Formats: sequence, structure tokens, C-alpha cells
Amino acid sequence: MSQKFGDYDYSDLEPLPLDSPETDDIILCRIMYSEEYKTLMSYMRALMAKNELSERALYMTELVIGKVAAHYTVWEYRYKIVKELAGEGAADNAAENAADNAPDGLQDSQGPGVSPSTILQRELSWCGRIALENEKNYQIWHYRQLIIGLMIDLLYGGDSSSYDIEKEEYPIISKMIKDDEKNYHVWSHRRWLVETFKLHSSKEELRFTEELLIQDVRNNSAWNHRFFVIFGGKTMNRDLDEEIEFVKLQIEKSPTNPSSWNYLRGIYKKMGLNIGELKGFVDKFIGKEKEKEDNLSVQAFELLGEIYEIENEKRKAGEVYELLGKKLDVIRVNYWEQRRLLAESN
Amino acid sequence: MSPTEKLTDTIERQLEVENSVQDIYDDILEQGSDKFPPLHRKAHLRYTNLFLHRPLTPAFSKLDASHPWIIYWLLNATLLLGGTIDSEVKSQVATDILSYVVEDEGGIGGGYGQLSHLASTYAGLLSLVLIGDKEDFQKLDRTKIYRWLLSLKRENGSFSMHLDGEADCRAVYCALCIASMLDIIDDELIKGTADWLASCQTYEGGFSGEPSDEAHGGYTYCAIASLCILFSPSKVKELIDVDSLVRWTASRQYPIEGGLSGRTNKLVDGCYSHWVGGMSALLECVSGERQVLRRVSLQNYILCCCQGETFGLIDKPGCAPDFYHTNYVLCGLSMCQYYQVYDEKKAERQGCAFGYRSVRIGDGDVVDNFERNKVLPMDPIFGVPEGYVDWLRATRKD
Repeated sequence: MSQKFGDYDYSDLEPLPLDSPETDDIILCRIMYSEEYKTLMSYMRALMAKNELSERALYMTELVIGKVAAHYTVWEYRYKIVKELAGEGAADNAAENAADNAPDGLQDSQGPGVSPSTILQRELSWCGRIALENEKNYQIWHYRQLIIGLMIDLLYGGDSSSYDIEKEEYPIISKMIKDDEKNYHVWSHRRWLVETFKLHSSKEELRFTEELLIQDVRNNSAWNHRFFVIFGGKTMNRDLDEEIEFVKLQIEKSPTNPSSWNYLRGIYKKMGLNIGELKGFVDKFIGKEKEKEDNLSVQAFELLGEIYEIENEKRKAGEVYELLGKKLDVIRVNYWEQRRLLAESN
Repeated sequence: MSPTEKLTDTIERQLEVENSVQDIYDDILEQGSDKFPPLHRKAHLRYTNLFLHRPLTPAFSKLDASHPWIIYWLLNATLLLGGTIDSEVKSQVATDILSYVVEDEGGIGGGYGQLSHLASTYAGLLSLVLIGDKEDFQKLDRTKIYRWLLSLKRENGSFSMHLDGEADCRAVYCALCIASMLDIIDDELIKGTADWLASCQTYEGGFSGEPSDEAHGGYTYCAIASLCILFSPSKVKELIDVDSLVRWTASRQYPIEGGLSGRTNKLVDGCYSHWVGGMSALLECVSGERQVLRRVSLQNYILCCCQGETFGLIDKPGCAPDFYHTNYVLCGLSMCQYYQVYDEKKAERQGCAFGYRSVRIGDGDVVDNFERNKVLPMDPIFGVPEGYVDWLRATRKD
């Protein structure tokens, strides 16, 4: 039987079943696959059984992942194929001539002889498209990191600084973040970039988080990333006072925002600073807002309680925690009661 | 929010949820307390039984790499509700799971012909545990699985989910649960793992998937449960910043909803009743504090806002039920109804992971623990009802 997908012929393959023969008469967890998916998958399985590392196998993985993006086995297989094809290409290149620079598009490819640069570049673009269609996915970004690793090895002789992050990474990240500004996988990828390419002193990372915080000061993912950029490197490249001013300003814009308060507390702890210094700052929110009962900054009162504790004002600290538990933050009544007991007993 | 604060996406979405939840609570209050919704036990059992007894529609192809999860979620939810699994389903579970076992790696894949995957192996083993399938469990090749786990171990102490796969706290948790259930933990397997887990605690107090990512409920559960597999609660206390974790955990509960969010400034979601709630039960043992969360408010959120209109449990009002939420919301409901205590003697005999025992909460001030809403107590480490894993491990020792 003739079987074609796209430009490729698969007629020589014997399609394999999706389910084990052992489970033939079982209905539990049996998915009634569409005919289309069943056909695709049965050829996919035939290719995997042969461990065929070819352009047509690559194309098949694209079709399957397009249907089921979480199919980690197919992702792993795809990685093997790409590694093989790009590796071969790299060997060919060394022997023969330079590569063409054809953009992505699997069906243009002519089989052997496609340059590793083309192969890997096309992977990145494809990865980006799949990411935009699948916001929550554990495979895509990890796969992208594997491809970047291959590029650095095969194209840049291990020199990671040759990889153009601005061109290859920032645009896709921005698009993803625009759709979901707290996408965990995307932020994790951005953190990986900072770590791998040592971007702790990059102005772009600060600018990126600042821009997102201007849009939405409650974007906790942006705060978290900023913390990593500034305080997660070996040396700090940002003026500490300036950063403290920055977060204080953000708190003033939104005094009930836990993200910015957590960030401020994080800085003080990380740098071993004395939170007693923040008394004046905290007072602004205590005094100013005392009248507006329903909109008090729980976080400001909490910090005030802690400041009293270091000042050894046990009774005052206890009173603040009591106020929090009984009035301002009743859902956490048990938590504040614990804090009160602890403060008063210390 | 402050009246002067700019209306951003975060605030708009938060207000939307607060309003929809407030409407539900107002309605209930208006109708009188006798109209307070009970756990719709029969309906939810109808839901899980329906899908345990019939094939899944083509739309489920999206879960084609998650077959063991589907089985685990459905079985676990059924049992938590007090339901039973008939022998026909049990035999199908065993056949299915065994058909996913990968010959050369020894682990379990997401379906037939797939690579061994830590999460699939975790869910697959739990499925065998839930049907009490001692025989098939013992057929698994522990030596092979041990070698496979070791092959996924990374230099920094963490694990990859599968060959060339991503590494995070989930992977570590699944690996440790697998190794613990099969009793194949040794020094080499866990070298550096506790330190790596501890390095995932963020400045906010919760744990991230990988070091320096954002604190997240799911990963925090995985990190704390992992540490509690390796060590006693008092030892765990020394390894992490407990105070900041307690603070972060308590902050996950929102005043109007009573439900839990997974991250700072994100919305509540019923599934965090388990990831954050279930973790809080362990944290209570670690910190020595009772009631890190307000159980009665969480239970109210679950009963009033997380029950699907027809059946099944859900993320938040307006959502449709799915297997994942049905299971994890029920796990969270269980946490509301029981404390966990760490029994040193039990732990000495069977290992730290097996040292926990539940105590039903009788104090009406803590939670309205009515019989009609009662679900089974949880094993706080493995994510199954209490006792299932103990039994399996006890028989192995014989």
C-alpha cells in the first residue's frame, strides 16, 4: 500500500499497532484514537522500531507532536534524529563545501547534504511555533535547550558567546510572555539563559523585568527573575541602594502587593541588612492608611511587627500580630497567633 | 488592592474570581446553613466509575503519553470517596500497567511502546498499589529499575524525567517515591539530592522547580515530600528555612475564596488544595505548628466552589471537571479532615517515608468534620489513601 505524508514516502514500512496485543480486549484507559492519529502513530512507531534517523522520520515526529505535544518519547526520538543529521552534516561540511542558508521549512530539504546550521536553525523556528500553540508543556523548552547545546557544539566549536540570544531567544520569549506573562516554563527558560550565558550583568534582563513590572507590578514571575539576575550571580552589578529605591517605589504604587514586599524582604535577608532601617518606610503605610480599614497593607504591618521584635519591643510586636490575626488578615489567624506567641516568649 | 492602584491583569482576574466566589457564598448564606452543599459523593463516584468502565473519546489523545496518570487519578479518587474497585477493573489495571513496562529500562512508560518515564512509573506503581496487586508489583525488576534511576541521576543530585528529559523537583519526587516503594534507596542514588532540593527554596520561602525559578505549589509539595522520604521531620527542619516556608504556605490561602493559590499573585485553583494543602500537613510535622492553613475555609472552598455541576471536581467556578482536579481536590479535602503525626517507632521499622499516621480532626472549630463529607485519610508522602503503601512494603520484608 502506498503511504505518503507530505513529500515523503513511507510505503516500505510495516505500521505497528498503538496498543499492546495484551490489552486488546481491555477497555480501561483505551483511547478511541481518530483514524488520522492512529495512522500517523502507527508509522511513527514503525520508524522508531527501526531507529531510522532520517528526514522523513523527522517529518513524522513533527506531525505527531503537532497532535500530541506532550509525547516525550517522540521528542526524544526527534532529538536523536536531529543530532544525527546535524552531526553528519557537520562531518560532510568539514570535508566538502560550505552550507546554504535556507530558512526553515522541512519539505524544502534535500536529505543528505543539508548543512547543520540549516537543520538546527529550522529546529529553533519550529520549536517556537510549537511553543506558541502549547503554552503549558514540559518538553518544548527543554528540547530547545538541547538544540542550543548542539548549535554551540557543532556550529560554534563550543563557544557559547557566538550564539545570538538577542535574535534567537528574546523575540520568542516576548511573544510567549505577551500571551501569558507568568508562564512558568518560559520564565524558567529565561533563567536558564541567564545562567548558561552568564547574563547577570546584562542590562537587557533588568530592562525586560522593569518593563513588565510597569505593566503589572503584581507580576511575581518578573520579580523573581529580577531577583535572580541581580542577586543570583557571583558578583552584583546593580547598585544596591538604587535597587532598594526601585522596589520601594513599586511598593508605594501598590502597598498591598505581596510580590514587591517579598522582594524587599528577600533583598534584606540576602544582603544581611537590618530591617530596622525600614521603620520609616513602613510607617508611611501604617500612618497614612490607618483610617481606611478595608485596605490596610498586611505586609507593612507584618514588617512593623518584625521590626518591633528586633527592637525587643515584645509587647508592641505581639499587639501588631494580634491586630493582624483578629482584624486585618483573619484568614491567617492561626499563623499570626503563632507569631504573637513566639514574639512574646522570645 | 489600593484604590489608587492601576488596574492590571493580575488585579482584574483576581477580582473576577473573588466576585464569582463571593456570589456563591452569599447565595448559600441566604438560603440558610442547611443548604450548605455536602460532598456529592455519589455523583463523583459516578464520574470516576463511568471512565473506569468505558473507552475514552478521541479528545483524550492529548493524554496519550499519560496513560498511567489517568488510571491513578481515577482509582485514587474513587477510593478516597469510599468507593471500591471491582475485580474486573483491577485486572484491567494490572494488564494495562504491565503493558507499559519498558523491557530494557525496567520502568513504566506513558503508554505502550513509550520510553520509561519517572512520572509514569510513579503513577503506574501507585496504580498497582491501589489495586493491592502484590504479585505484579513483585514481578517488577528492581535491579533494572535501580540502574535506570541511576542513569537519570545528574551530577548536581537531581534526576531527569527520562532519557534526555527535563530535570526538576517533580522528577526527584517521583524517583524517590519509586525507590522508596521498591526499597532500593542507597547512598549512591541519593547523593547530593537533599542539598539540591534545599537549593530550590526561594527568597519567598516556597520551592521552585529548579534552583532560582519562582516558588510554586506543585514543586514545593514535591520538594518537601522528597525531603520527608529521606529524613525525619526534625532533620528536615534543619535543612530548610522553615519559618519562611510556613509564611509562604500560609500566604497561599486567600481571604475571600478560602482556597489556595500556587504562587504569589496567582489565582486559587482547587488542585493546590493538595499540592499546597497536602504539603502543609507535612509542614505541620516539620515545624511543630498546627494549622498552618485554615482548614475550615479550604473545605468550604472545596465544597462550595470545586464541585462540578453534574459531577467531578474542578479548579474554580465555571471550570469543567477533569480527572486530575477530581483526584487532587479530593486529596486536599482529606487534608482538611485529618492531621498527620510522625510515629518514630513506625519510621524506625519501615523508613522515614512510612512514619506518618493520620488523626481525624474532631474539633468543630478547626473543621466541620461531618460524616457526609468524610473522605479517607491520605498518606501524606505518596499521594494515596493511608495504609496502601505500608501494606506493600510490609509484605516485601517478609
